[in-house]
Amino acid sequence: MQESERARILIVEDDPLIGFDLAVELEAHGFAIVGVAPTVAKALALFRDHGCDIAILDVNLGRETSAPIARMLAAEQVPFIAVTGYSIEQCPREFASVPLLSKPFQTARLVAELKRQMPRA
Amino acid sequence: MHGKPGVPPAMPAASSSTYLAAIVASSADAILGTTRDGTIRSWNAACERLFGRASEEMIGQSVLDIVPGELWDEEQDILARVASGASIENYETVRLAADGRPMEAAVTLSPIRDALGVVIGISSVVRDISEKKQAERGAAMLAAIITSTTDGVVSKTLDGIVTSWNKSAERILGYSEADMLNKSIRKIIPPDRQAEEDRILATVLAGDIIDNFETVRVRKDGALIDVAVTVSPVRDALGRIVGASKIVRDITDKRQTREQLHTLLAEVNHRSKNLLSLVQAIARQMTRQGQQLDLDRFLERLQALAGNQDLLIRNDWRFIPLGELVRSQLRSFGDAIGSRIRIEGPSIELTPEAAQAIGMAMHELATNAAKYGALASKEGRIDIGWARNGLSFTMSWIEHGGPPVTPPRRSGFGSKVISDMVRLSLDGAVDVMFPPSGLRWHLACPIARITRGRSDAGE
Repeated sequence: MQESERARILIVEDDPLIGFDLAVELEAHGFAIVGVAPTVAKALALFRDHGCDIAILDVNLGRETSAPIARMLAAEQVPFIAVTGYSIEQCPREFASVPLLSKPFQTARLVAELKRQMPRA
Repeated sequence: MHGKPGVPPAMPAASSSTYLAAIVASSADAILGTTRDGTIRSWNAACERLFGRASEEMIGQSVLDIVPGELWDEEQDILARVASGASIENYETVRLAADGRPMEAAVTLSPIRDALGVVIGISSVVRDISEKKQAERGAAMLAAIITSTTDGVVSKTLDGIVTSWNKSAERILGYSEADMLNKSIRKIIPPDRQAEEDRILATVLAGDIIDNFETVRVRKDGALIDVAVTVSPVRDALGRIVGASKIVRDITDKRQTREQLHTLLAEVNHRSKNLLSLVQAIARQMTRQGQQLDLDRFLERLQALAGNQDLLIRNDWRFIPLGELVRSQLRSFGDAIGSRIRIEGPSIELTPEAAQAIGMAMHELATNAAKYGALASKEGRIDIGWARNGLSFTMSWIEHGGPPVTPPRRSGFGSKVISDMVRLSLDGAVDVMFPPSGLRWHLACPIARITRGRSDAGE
């Protein structure tokens, strides 16, 4: 796949190793990683500077939730997938109608979901 | 008196006094007569029952025999007053019962006069009021309990009209006794819960108790309050249900505790699944490109994570002191700390996320040092240091004196952790160098990435 054709993914995950692992896994599956953001501020800045085709949001980021990122992405009409250790009813309402993967999950499931959500060029 | 006014009694004097004596003898009240100075002259059957002492024994004795020592002065004073013509009615005092036990008594004393009106003796009627006093004390005690309890205690009629309202009911619900007396209890029930009162009254009317029913009531200020109510029927002397007593307990704290527990469990759910994801990530990164899982190394890494968690829990999951983190990850080389391993840096409280990244890096560096680096020989040393300079944070791990170092041929999980993962998660720059003198690891990142105080100044 050409670099220019690879879907560009923003990963929002506060756990350093999980974020790193996700990035490595997705790169191995042919995606380009815009960045791994552990906080809302970092995610918004990465999106502002680089944009993305799709995002993966860990719902709970320690001190905050990724709800503000979800609102921003929805406004920008950028699809995203939520990943969480919470049960669905514990998630903020921003995630009510969003595909949700419960942690831990296999990469294959995430990749399948990403492909389903991706806007076809 | 039964005689007609002005008409003398029909009976002759002698038989009249016999008749009166018979009345006294058979009276249910204890009646005794004394001389003016208190020597007992008569002692009826009721006296024998009440004091447990026969008249033969008592006649001729001083009345002080049935008065506790500490009341003798008072008794003599009273006798003197009656002897001078005064009557004393229902004077509440203490007398000694059969076994010498003090007994609460009401005594009515009257002077006995002769035909000329001269006081020649004193009559005393003694009633045992122990039970009455006991009941009064019991009632006073109950009243005091109701006044001082932290629970709201309220009584109402079967129509729900409030008949009593204690201080705590006022504290919990805001309405004073004056606000509520003779008013309907429905005032404190939210509109959507009015049916509850019908059920409560029906239950009480059936003679049943409502035990700790958790519900919501409206305070005077309009705020809703969580309460537990216990309602019991109140019966009259004939056993008929005439009303209800209600105990209202403020359970705001209990509800908050329950909510906190719920939040905590959600947090445990999140964290435990995150931990499983982390274990999955480690296993996956350790087995990339078809590598066999090194189970020992895998388990060591899980132990390093568990060590981090202990430190986090010790600080209520808020932060980990950097110094403690470094020492914890190096604890298997504990005897070398302070001699071959130097740890130096200011006190910094790491966020849980930064602590995980730096903790794992320390673990990987230490494992590497023990296998191939400074801790693989007896002479090797490690300097671990960190500093904050304005908005930036730097940390280094410098080995020297170990076996000559050559750069590793391939980059495994450990080297990814100490470089890529740390760089990504802390938004920093990581340099790993392998001069022959020993490995050098250097991290520089924004201080806001690793500790709280300035919010997300990372960009």
